Parts: sequence; C-alpha cells; structure tokens
Amino acid sequence: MSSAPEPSDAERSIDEVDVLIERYLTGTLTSDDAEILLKRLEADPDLGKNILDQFYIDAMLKSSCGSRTRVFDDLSRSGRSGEGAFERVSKRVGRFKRSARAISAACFAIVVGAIVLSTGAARFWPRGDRSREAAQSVSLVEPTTASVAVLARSVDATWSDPSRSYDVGSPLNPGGLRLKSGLVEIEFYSGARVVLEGPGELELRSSLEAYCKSGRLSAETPPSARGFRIGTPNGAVVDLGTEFGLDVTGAGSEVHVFKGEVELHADSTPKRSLKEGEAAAIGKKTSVRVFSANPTAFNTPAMIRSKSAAALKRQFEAWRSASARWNSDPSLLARFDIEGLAPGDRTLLNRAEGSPIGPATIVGCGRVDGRWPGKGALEFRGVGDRVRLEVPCEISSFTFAAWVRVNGLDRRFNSLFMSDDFKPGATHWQILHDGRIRLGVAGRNGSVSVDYDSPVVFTPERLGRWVHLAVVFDSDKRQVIHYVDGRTVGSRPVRNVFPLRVGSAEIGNWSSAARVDRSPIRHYSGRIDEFSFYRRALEEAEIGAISGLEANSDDS
Amino acid sequence: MNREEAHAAQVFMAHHGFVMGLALKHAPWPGLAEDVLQQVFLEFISKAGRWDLDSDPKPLLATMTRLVAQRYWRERSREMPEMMRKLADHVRMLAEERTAPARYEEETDALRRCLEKLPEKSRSLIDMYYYADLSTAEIASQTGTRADTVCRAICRLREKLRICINRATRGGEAYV
Repeated sequence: MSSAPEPSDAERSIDEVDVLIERYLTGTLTSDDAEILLKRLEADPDLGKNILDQFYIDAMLKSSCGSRTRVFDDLSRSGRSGEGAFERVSKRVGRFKRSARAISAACFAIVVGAIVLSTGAARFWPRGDRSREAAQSVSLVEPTTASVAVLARSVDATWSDPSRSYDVGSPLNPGGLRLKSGLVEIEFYSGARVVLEGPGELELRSSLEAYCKSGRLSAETPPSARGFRIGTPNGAVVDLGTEFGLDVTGAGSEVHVFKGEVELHADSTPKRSLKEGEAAAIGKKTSVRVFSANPTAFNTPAMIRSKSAAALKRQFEAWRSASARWNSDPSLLARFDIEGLAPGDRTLLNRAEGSPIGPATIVGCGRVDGRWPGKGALEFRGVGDRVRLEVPCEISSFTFAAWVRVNGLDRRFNSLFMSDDFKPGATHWQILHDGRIRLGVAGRNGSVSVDYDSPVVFTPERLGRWVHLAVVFDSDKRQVIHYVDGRTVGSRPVRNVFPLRVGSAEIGNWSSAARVDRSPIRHYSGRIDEFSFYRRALEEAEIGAISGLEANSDDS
Repeated sequence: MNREEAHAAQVFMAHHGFVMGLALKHAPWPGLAEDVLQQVFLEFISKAGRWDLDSDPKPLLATMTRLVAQRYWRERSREMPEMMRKLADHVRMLAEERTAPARYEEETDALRRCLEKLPEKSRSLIDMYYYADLSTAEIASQTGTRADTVCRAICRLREKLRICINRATRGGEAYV
C-alpha cells in the first residue's frame, strides 16, 4: 500500500497562503490570520499581486454567478449584508431632498434589467435556483391558481395518503381527496359546501362539480351554486338549490333530500326529480327506489361547525396545558402568548420564567382572535404597528419561533423579529417579498454580514393560514435551519461565529435607529399569536413539539 | 422617477463596470465595493439635475467613487480589530499602487469566455462554490476531499482565470 508523499515546507506554505486568502475573501479571517497574512504580504511583493488578482477575480465571479455577493442582483433587493443595502444606502443619502426610495424601484429595475442584457449575465452560467428566484422576483406574469375549493373545517381528519393531506385553509385543486377518517368541510368557490366523512373519496372537478367514488357526504348549495353536480358510479345528483346527503357504497348510491329539490341522473333510468323528505337508492342495473329521507344519518355543515368548535376548544386547552411546561424551560428567553390582554392593554407579558427580558410594549396593533376562538393574537396592519422589547444579553445559538397568519407580502422585507438598525451581531428574521424566509446576521469583528435564506415558503396558497415558523441558529453545529410547521424546509452552513446581540428589537416591524426623519417601511402584514425566543438551538423534535398543535382556526 | 433621473440611471448603467472597477481598487475589502457601487449610484441619481449628462461622465463618476470609497473605508475599518485594519490598509495601499486602469467590464466579458473554456471538473467546482454558495468544507464533504484542498483548488482556478483573462484582453485566445 502506498501513501501520498508528505508536502514540502514550500508546498505547505503555499497551502497556508491559499487558505488565508480564501478566508480574506470570505470575510472569515481572524486577527491571528490577519497578522500572519500581513507579515507574508510585507515579506513577499508577489503575494500582494496575487491577493489582488484573487480579489478581483473573486469579485467578478461573485457578480457574474449572481452568488455570494451582490452587485446588481442585490442592488434590487439587498446589499452588504445581502439585506437592506438599499435601505442602508437610502439612509445615507438622507441629505438629498428627493426620496431615494422613490427613485429606487424604477431605477434599479432599469439598471438590473439593462445590466443583465448588456453584460450577458443571463447567459453567463447555467441557471440555478438563484437565477430562477431572481427571474421570479422580477416576473411580470400574474400569479395564477387552479384551485376550485378550500378546506374550511376539519374534525379529527386523517388522510389516506399523508403526502396528500390538507390543513384547514388549504386551497384545493381539481383532483382526488382520500379521507381515511374524520370529517372535513369543503367550500367550493361557487359557494357550495360539502361535508365529507371518512372513509371517503371525493374528486373535485370544478367549482361546480365533484365526483364521489365512495363514502358519505352532505351538501348545501346556495343560489349562487345552483346546478352544482356530484357524480357517483351509479349516476349523478344535480342540485337545484337545496341540502342533501349522498351515501356511496359498492352496492349503490343513496340520495337523501333534506331541503329543496335535486335532479337525479341515474345511469339505469331516465332523469327524475327528488323533493324534500324523499330519498332514492340507485343501483347499477336496478330501477330507482324511493323512500323517506333520513337526515340524522349525515353530518351536515351545521353539525361539523359544532364539532369543529368542540375540537378547537380541546386543542386550545391542550395548548394552555403545555404552556406551563414551555414557560419553565430555562433556555427560554421570551415567550409572548398574547393571552390575557384587556382592551387597551399596551403591555405584553413575557411568560418565560426567570428571563432577563421584561415585558414588551405594543405599538399600534390591536388584539384579535388567534388560532382558536378566544385565543389572543395581535393584528399588524399599519406601517407603524409593532411590539418593542429589549434583549439585554449576548447569545451564541438561538431559536426564534412564531405562529403567524400572513395576509400578504406587501413589502420587500416583511419583518418578523428584527434588531433595531443592523449593528454588529444583530439579527433580522423576516419574510422576503418572494416568499423566502431570511435570517440575516450582521457581521462583527471584521466578519461580513450573512443572510441565511430558506427556499420559497409563502406561496399565495399559504397566505391567510396559520403557519408555524421557526429558525435555529446553531453555532456549535454551525448551521441555520428554517422550519415550517415543524418540518425542516432548508438549512445553511453558518459562515461566521461570534456573539450575537439582538439588543432593542421589534416583532412585526423594524426601526432604523440611525435615522429619525425617514425609515424604510418593513412592517409585517398579518397576525401573530405566539412568539418564542430560546437561547439555544432547539432540536427538530422540540420544534415539532411546539408546532405540533394544529392551527385549525376557523375564525376568518 | 422623472425623465432626468431615468436618463441618469441609463448613463450610470452604461458605466457601471467602470465604477465597479474603481470601487474594487479603492475599497478592496470583501463586499465593500458593492456598497460603494450602490452608494455612487444613488448619489448620482439623486443629483441628476446637476450633471451635464451629455458630456463624458467618467471623471465625475471617478471622483464620486473615490470619495464614497474613502468614506466607506473609514467607516468599515473603524469597526475592525487593529490587526485586521492594518491588513486592510496594506491591501488597499497595494491596490492604490496599481497603475493599470480599471477594466472591469472588459475583463468581465473575458471572464465569461474563459469560464466557458474550463474543463467540466473545474466548472463544477466554480459552480458549487460561486453559484450554489457551498463553503469549501461543504464541497469537501461532497467530493470526499479536504477543505484546504478545495481552498487550494479554487485559488489555482482563479489564478488560471486571471491568466486567461489577461491573454484574452490582449487580443489573444481565451483558453485555460
């Protein structure tokens, strides 16, 4: 067996310089490194030329590949930290009378587009995620959706295929729903409402049509949905403005009319109508048999609303019970559960026991219902809405977690939890306009600022629904992990480790301490009904636990 | 944005490579040149009414870039530990001593041609490092090698690209 020859001293020396240059270029140079590199530079004039060459080529590659740095890619959306360069730059040009912000969008759009064209940057390198994201972010194409209905309520629902399960609020595209057990209420965009009982299979075809392969359902159709049709293996039911139940088994189908009238299109017999109080059994090859309807055999929309309310109450109670345990976690720095707020209260109590962080102050936003009826939440609507707090300690690892219901991503940066300004060691947790979640960490001790972005999380379908977000900064494992509803959606390696200082901070907004006359607008639009901040990196199972209670609010 | 500002933006756009080249020369610290570029852009647009945009804007942009770079350099280096500041100042001095004119745009175009000539393995490395944004440690774990080996490979690649760019910008063929 042969082994690789040991490198000579000269080779080791070259390697060491390469490593130092690399650290210099990535902003990870330590003071000790700097001292060594400086001595080498002073002793070796050729090394000076080398480091400058490396610096220039590195800058060109970063710019050309649209990665790591910035240049025009980030002129349009970020800067030194990757985040907020424009805003930072805007602050510095405050002496000009004209609003730099007003100039920005159009100018940057022109410049970015033109630079891409003029430099051929678009052709420069194989397209990857970043270029796709960039392309999406500047796309003028109007977003579209194929959905025809929304899942309005659910009670103890389990789905046959976990990869095709749906939460309350999920838009539903045409296709099959396979409910294993429990109840769900589907609201079609036409206005028709269907309660499906598990086990059951329902195929959504349009906002006015569905097909029930098996299972039991009830339907209510307002006048706007007149003509709503549900097919079965034995025929179809066309609603004429009514309430009815449908039970589909291997042996045949039964239709029960509770109110109004339906048309029965059985395969084996001519079309006929069925009136209130009547039921009909349809076999594959037999004639239609008419008998009395049995409304008690079906769960109607009114019944699922009642059951849903009871289920939500149970979830709320379970959350309350678990709260005491969460509050006593010694690593918990802050937990604002938005509970017990009286009208006019402007102080939010920090539930974390023994934390150095005091209560927070509510500015602007008002109390509304959260995930469950009666559960408090704060609604952020105006540009001034925010919750202010002071974090008087340094941390090395941390976890931010929040239950949010995003109304829309109105701003380029939509603040979740932001240190004031962006001083060394500060942290910025926010949602970008394109739906990615960003944790920005301001550089310190000579290290550059770094953004840790998730993939796109907030697609239009996710807006208006309760979502649990968490981000973990783990300085030991040197990674940042983004979680959505308890599941990892992306992780990034930590570039630099140094003590972090959140300092004065805001939930739902951002204050630029450097300016008093004009601040960039980065307010969050939506509701937050819980925010937690730990001084350690929570494990995946722990994130799963704090996000594990379903967000089945039907308050909207 | 009014017509004047739009015109100024177009003028800047036509010279952004020139500004970037100067920014790299005057502010040779990672990430700083981009900040300078942005600031010069904003100041240029903000004062669009003052400039004679029909004449050559290079002297004006050069002055603005130098001043902004100096300001930013002061701000940035003030935050640095002493040894880091000494190193930064030394590198800046080396950059300022360079007499070659900034040819950023021309070189960027040459870089594109040089990248196209790279062997697949080298392209893959550049792709992972610059495009996929993987660290040297991550690339090392993916390719079954050591981080410092990756570091060295990237440095060698940049050197090769430098040589290729020099050759290409002197009218020679771009090859690596």
